[in-house]
Amino acid sequence: MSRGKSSLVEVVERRTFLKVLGSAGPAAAIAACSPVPPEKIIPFVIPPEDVIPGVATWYASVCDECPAGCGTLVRTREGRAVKVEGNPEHPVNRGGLCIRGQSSLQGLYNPDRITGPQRRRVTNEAAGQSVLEPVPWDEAQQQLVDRLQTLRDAGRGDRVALVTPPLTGTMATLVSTWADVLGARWVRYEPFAYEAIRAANRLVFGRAELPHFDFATADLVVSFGADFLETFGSPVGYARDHAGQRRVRDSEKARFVQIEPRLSMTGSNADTWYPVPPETEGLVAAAMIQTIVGEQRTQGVPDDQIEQIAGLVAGASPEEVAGVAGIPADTIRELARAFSDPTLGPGRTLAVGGGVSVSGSNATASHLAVTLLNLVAGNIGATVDFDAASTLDTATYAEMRALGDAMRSGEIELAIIHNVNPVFTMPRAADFGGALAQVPFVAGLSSLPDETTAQADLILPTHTALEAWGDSNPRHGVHGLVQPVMQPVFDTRHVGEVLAEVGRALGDEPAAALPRRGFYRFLRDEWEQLQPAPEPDPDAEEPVAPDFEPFWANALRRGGITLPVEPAPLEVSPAVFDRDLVGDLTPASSARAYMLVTYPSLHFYDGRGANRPWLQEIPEPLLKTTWGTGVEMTSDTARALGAEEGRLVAIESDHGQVDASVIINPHLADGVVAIAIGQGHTNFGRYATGRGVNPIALLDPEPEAASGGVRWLGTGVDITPRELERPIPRLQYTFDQNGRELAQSVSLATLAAGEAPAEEHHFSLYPEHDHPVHDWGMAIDLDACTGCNACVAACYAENNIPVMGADRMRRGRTMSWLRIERFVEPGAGDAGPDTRFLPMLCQQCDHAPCEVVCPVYATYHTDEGLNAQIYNRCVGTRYCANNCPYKVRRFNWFMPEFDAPLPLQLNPDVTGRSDGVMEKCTFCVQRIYDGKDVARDENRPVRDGDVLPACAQSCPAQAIVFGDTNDPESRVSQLSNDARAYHVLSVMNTRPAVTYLKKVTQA
Amino acid sequence: MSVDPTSARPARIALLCAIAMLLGAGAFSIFSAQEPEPGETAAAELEDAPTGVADPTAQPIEFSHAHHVTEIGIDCQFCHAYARRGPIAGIPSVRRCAGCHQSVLSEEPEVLKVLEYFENGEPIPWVRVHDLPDHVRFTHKSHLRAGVECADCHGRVEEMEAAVQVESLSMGWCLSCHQERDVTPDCLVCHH
Repeated sequence: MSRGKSSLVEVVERRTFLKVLGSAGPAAAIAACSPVPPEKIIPFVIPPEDVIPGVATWYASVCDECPAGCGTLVRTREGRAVKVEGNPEHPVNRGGLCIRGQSSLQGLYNPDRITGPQRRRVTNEAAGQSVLEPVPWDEAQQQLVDRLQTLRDAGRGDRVALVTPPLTGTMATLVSTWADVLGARWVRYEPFAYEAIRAANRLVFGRAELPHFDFATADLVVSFGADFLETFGSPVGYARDHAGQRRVRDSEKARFVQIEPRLSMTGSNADTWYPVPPETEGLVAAAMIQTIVGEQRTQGVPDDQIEQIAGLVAGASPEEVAGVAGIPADTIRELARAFSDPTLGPGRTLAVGGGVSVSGSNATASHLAVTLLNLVAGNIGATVDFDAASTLDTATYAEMRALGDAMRSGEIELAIIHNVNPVFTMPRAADFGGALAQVPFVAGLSSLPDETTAQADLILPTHTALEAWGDSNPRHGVHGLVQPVMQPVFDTRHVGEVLAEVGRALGDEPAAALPRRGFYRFLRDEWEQLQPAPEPDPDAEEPVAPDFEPFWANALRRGGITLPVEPAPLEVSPAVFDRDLVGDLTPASSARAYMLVTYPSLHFYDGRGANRPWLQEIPEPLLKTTWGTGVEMTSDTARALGAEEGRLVAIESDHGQVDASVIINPHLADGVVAIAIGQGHTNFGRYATGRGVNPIALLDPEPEAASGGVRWLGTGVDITPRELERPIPRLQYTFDQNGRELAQSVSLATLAAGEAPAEEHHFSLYPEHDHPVHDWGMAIDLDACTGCNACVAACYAENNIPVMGADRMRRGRTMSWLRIERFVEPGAGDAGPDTRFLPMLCQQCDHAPCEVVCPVYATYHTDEGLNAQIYNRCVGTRYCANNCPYKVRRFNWFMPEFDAPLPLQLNPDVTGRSDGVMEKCTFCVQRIYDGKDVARDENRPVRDGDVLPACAQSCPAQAIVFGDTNDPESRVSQLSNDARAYHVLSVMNTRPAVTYLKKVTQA
Repeated sequence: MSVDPTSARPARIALLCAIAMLLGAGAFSIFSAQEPEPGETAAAELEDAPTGVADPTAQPIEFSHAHHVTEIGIDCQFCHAYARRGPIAGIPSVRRCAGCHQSVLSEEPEVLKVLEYFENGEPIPWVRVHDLPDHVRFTHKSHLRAGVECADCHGRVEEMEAAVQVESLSMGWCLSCHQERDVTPDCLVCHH
């Protein structure tokens, strides 16, 4: 065919023209109707050492989303971070990573991030109007220096407050030096500071610490509201330990009992759930102690202490507690006996009290009871490990209130706030915002604009953890290294360097004390002191100085180091027995109609995750709500109020009033309504502002007396329905399987007897597929899955799945390739609801209903057992989705949109889809090719474990196993032949490649 | 496929195509009214014509492959250094060019251009010659590992002054080679 001056009419044949028109992809359309523009190909000027274009570079680092300090591996492509995964070598999380950790990329690339330093300029003094305007870094920093210098010159240098998160490691050293040398007041603020747990441990052992709970050796866990699979302590590590211990071994399975007013995601994984009124958990623990002591089942407790403990709980007989808590006395006794079962051996059980969920007016007494319960069962030093306790040193809420009072009284003339948002996270009635407004000059050193930085006079934006050097020391013996994985996205600086430079400009003394060569040098210097001394060599004449470089390189590569911890003996303080424990445990009463339970959100934590589209879009694990929160109540409560799902109601407490949408949740104790913490932001970027409801506005500003913590529970509220409907989008409205047995279970007894019914195999008219080399398959253990959504977020990140937003989600337009369905069956006896989580993704059927209806061969079966979806062939008939019984195919009704700079996160290994195209899971086929590529490089066959899809990688509980079912030795092959194995909708004879393992119930 | 949210172009083109379908033959006159400019590629040439062939004179520097490969004997992968390690063969960094040319032929006018780019710390804006659509995942590494020669796809570059595209790089062309060599014709390998 001739090139040059030829018109379309002359050269286009009918078939070609229709082919061009039929192409769904805009790329094809561009090529068809417009000339290909000449593309430039830009070489490196100087090539970076560790970058091969098109090949991922990984960096080990530490997650900064909560104080747990999980190790991460960050995948970067061409100098930008595209995925965060758990570090399998890190002792805290050992491979998994939660939904919040996955979403740290959306903190890095958040469209609302502060892009450079800003200064407030008053535009209308009379009206109190002002604007933030950009200012160069040096000028901005100089302004802070001048302000500090003025105060110091006036002899008021101690009127400076610095509020930071609970920093550890080198940053803590630096900030502590800074505050000391400048005489400033340094407050480490963490909204979920677990004050009551630390206060109780101080009373009993003289150590105000959060111990490490060893779920890996606990045969019975009794959790008093601890959401240890969601936010409490170290949830990823706990989930891993707990799932490992709960695996069926020798026909036995560790037991798990949850006692709490609102069924949490953690509680829905328990064998037994007891709903109790708020603030009565401690009484249940006390009654259990009384039974254990009374029946002489204590383990390893000296006789004199036994007597004193008996005295403490004398007033908490199971009968009396049963009347308050609503758990039958015999049930409490049975639970106490199981908890102190001598056949288990000492220290094989574990009681955990929740940090936020047990935090009413009797929080410290309740945690004291839980600690004593562990003491009488011999768990202290065994499953309750103080040697690996959290090192986090945080201020109590009462100290933050005192800071607010100091601000109001004019004692603070300059406040520096770094990456905390107390205006939002402290009870509204405490009015920290009002206090901050009294401070003449506020500097915000944060990376994101929030309610607190909105009040700043000067904003010096800082790096996120993915752009900065740092380290973390979350618990004794664990030292993680944070390294920058990319250049800063915006014009930000390292907070340590800003503080050091500002401090050094303030005189000779601070200049001498603060590091002058940048934070990286300071970090290395600090780590030189962490390096263990080498083994003394008897032949050497002089002791050899250890070589730091290999140590440093190794620590960077592995993401940190672990150091041995010297065990410290624990002694029970006699003073602890000198109190009226049962009197202290008495719940507060309220004249209001309902008791409010606030709980930390799995997705948003204390609210810091609310500005991330993945966390808003992915349905909440229990109620499957998205893009908003509301007030949860039972249908009985709703009926009594004359409200229904979606109705807006006004909620009033003694301390505030909010409007919230009703969400029906059947799993609440009587008289309880619940609201998740984390939404209801007023100034936190486009995704969070004005969304959901903030329960903190209703809370009592008075701290709990004994610990100084926030009273997250026990606020009485009245509720009045309003004449407005504001339904929260939900992805699942019924949790009833309607007898279809999608998520199946089997009892432990049936399993042990070998009577688990085998799956029926059906004859098929379709020819069998040949899988000569590989036949990829997946096994998902419903007994291990906790419903935590980590896999869903990993899938969004890996596969460039767009978010739809509230309006489209309300119409069911989710694009998730992997979702977690939740079904609830009535539990056996009084065990409470039997919740089953069913991760649902493309089943890669051997006899796929979607394949046979595609008119253009865009979906077909590969030689390796995958159900392929070829986006550039797809013309969008949607026949395949209509024919899919699993509803795992997603159609792009719209062109996917990602607000800049979020597109920097997109995975270049996965094609972006456009409107008019069907998409779905392909077992992360790009990772399959990567695994095969590594094997070919090493000239060997693909081994089990070489290929790890994003969902399986992220799973904290290791519920998802992937591999080649052609290999009889692979883990997935073995699990596929397990007695618990079944396939969803096997009656349709689709022959899925995803095998599910039934949940195991105790009864 | 592009996910660039700022581009309204696909939508516009899709609309144009839809109108064309509706108007049937009438639409051809719309298209025919738009005479392609010289050097533009017409739609129908998609299948058989090489895509994305650049004008050899359009390169910012008159670089001769023939001289470097045939006369001097430099291996392809000395400059295209990433080919056996990853999907992208890579264009040599400016430092690699300057590394030799700071001492070799450093007075030549074309070489001076290279050295100027290097001194200014600027990349050389080469014009892409071989371009595959964004929905194709080609990797040099596996092809080299399987023993495919550079020339099998790129032609006898060692005889060219400026590089030009000689093969169509169309899907049919890829598949014919896959068939000859009994390699998987699975769509997913290149389209995922």
